[in-house]
Amino acid sequence: MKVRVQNIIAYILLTLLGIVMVYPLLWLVASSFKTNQEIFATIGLIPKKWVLDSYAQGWKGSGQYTYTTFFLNTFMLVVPTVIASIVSSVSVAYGFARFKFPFKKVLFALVIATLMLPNAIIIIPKYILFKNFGWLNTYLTFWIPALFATYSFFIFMLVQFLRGIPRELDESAIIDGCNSFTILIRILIPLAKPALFSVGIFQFIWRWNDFFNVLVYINSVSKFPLALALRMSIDITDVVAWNRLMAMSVLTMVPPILIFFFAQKYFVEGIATTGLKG
Amino acid sequence: MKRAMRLISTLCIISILATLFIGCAKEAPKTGTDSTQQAAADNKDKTDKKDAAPKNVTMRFSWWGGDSRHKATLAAIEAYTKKNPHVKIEAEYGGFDGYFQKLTTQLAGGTAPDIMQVDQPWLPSLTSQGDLFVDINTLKEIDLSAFDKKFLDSQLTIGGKLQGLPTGLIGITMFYNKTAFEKFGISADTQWTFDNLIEIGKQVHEKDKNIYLLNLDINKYDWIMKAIVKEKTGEQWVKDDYTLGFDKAILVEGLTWIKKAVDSGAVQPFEEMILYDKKAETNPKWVNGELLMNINWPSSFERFTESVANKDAKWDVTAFPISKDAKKSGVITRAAQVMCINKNSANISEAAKFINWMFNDDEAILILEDVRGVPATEKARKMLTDSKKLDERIVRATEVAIKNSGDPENGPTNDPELLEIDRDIIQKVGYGQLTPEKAADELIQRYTEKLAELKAKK
Repeated sequence: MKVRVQNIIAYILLTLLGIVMVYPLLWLVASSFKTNQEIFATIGLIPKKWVLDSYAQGWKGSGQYTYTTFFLNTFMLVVPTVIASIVSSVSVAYGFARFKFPFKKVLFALVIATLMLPNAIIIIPKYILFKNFGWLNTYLTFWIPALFATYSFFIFMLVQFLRGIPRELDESAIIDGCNSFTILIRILIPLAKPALFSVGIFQFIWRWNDFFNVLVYINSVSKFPLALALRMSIDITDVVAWNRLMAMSVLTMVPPILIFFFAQKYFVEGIATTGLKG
Repeated sequence: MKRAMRLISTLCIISILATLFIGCAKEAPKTGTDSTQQAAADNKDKTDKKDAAPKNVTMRFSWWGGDSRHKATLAAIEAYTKKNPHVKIEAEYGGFDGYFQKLTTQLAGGTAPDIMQVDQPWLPSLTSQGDLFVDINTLKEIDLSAFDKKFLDSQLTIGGKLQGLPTGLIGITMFYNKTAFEKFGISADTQWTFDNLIEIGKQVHEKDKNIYLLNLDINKYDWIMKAIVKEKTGEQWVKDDYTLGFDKAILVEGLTWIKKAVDSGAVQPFEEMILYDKKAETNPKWVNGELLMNINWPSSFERFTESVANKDAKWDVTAFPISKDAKKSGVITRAAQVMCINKNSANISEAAKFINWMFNDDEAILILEDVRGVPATEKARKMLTDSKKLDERIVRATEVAIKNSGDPENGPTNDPELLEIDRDIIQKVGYGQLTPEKAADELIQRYTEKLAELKAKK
């Protein structure tokens, strides 16, 4: 009996906490239907006066391009980057987890060192490098680094995961006639699916929300991804149509949320098992 | 045998990679802008121009702003390129957030656009890093006769070079809710001083506990504090030689104003205000009409009045306070933004022509209206007032502000690191953590340290 009462109290508390956490999100959705004045005047959810055209108006954007362009741009930027990150990170991680080669420890330390390096420090050298390659104002600035496994966090994560898979599996695969490449493809990648999903989701959400890098590398409005498009009309002097902005923010959140829910099963598994020794 | 094969294949891969990178490096100048070569070509082009058809050029033009500015500027670009089909202008626009970071990265990397919108307070620190912008005085394509020469000389000329042209003139003004003023019996003709702001604010708050006279955020406190000090001294806040333009006694007066304003109820308590710092128009009390006045640039007038829920309230603009015994006015006036031409641009002459058109052509003036503030040329002001495109209240307020304007602020005064110290101290006084005297000591001490550092860097 006592346990049950405790349970009920716990549920009530959790529900309340849940509401508090979700409230800003609900507020965002509700605000996209309010008038500009009402958004900041009250914190209630139900609009006094419904504004129904904020989605249609917001989609039109503020100048030459509509949100169709911005959404397509974002997918053009994010999807290849995610795929490239997964492919490159898993091959580098495989190398570190399973092979012996000279300077392995030093190299791995270097990889971890780049993990510690804040992005702000390397932004100027990177900018100059990309400029000399002639990549500025193209998505190559995101695709190519991803292809060369520059996201050391993912390498680290995958190395930890691969170390958790018993080596005996590799050895039995060798007996069955596998070479090192087929071991990776046939044995390790299927087993490492949860970790790969985690890499994919992390990278998808990070690139989707990234503001600073796209701000620095992308100039043309025709190539703007959503992160830049959303801030295009927020200025210090002009009147901001907040309801349209809120409406577009709601739509912008949809793809990452969908990805997260569909891949959640693998994602949680990936986080939970990374670092466990087999 | 096997080992040899492996060695050869490794060598092959390395050489392939190497050529790949060298190939990229060689290609870069073609895609990027090779300034010297193209500039030379452009110069040659200038001399041949009379007999040859104009060469096709593509220019980049970057600005920040909101929706209305984007729309108007894009329309202007379209109108210009229709008339000058050999010119193509790529627009690069966005919000204010991050614009400065991006601009400095581009200037450092040599990839800045041909035409840039720059904020005036950035000019001293940008130009101290190198010769970045074309001296407008040297360009025969631009007709400067419409501009106020004194203003150009005092505000936009650095090191004898005119760095850019002002898109508009702005001076600090005060917006007030006329309807509410009538309700509280405050005369619209009140000659505001820093003292009666507090007196009247106190009376208003005593009549209705929910209402405060002023809607201020920390930047506005900073303006007022500095204005009080500068009016007493008649000097710059920080002098050109990096010494303080005031002593402790005067600074205490400025800081005491903040304490009095908070204690008397003329302004909202800091705990509530700070949530809306830098976005005072989203303060719910402002939206609900419970704050009666805002101190701001005239260009924010629409933004602030639009956000108030009560649409029947009438609004007007009045002059920023000046003390009666002021040695010099503390009103800051400056260029709304500055249009600069990139010194490394390959198309300086074409860029200059476009800028000249933007500022002087009738068609351009009517397209651009007041999206960059009240225009800086009298011709444009007159055209727009005649066609009712300008809000008469804002024009009047701007003209008053310019008439009462103090000296333009110098570079050291606007240093962002010093502004951070101000923000800190103002909050300590506003929250009642420090008395104005103690706060003055701390500000002077921290300023002295920072100024020594800034001077050494120079």
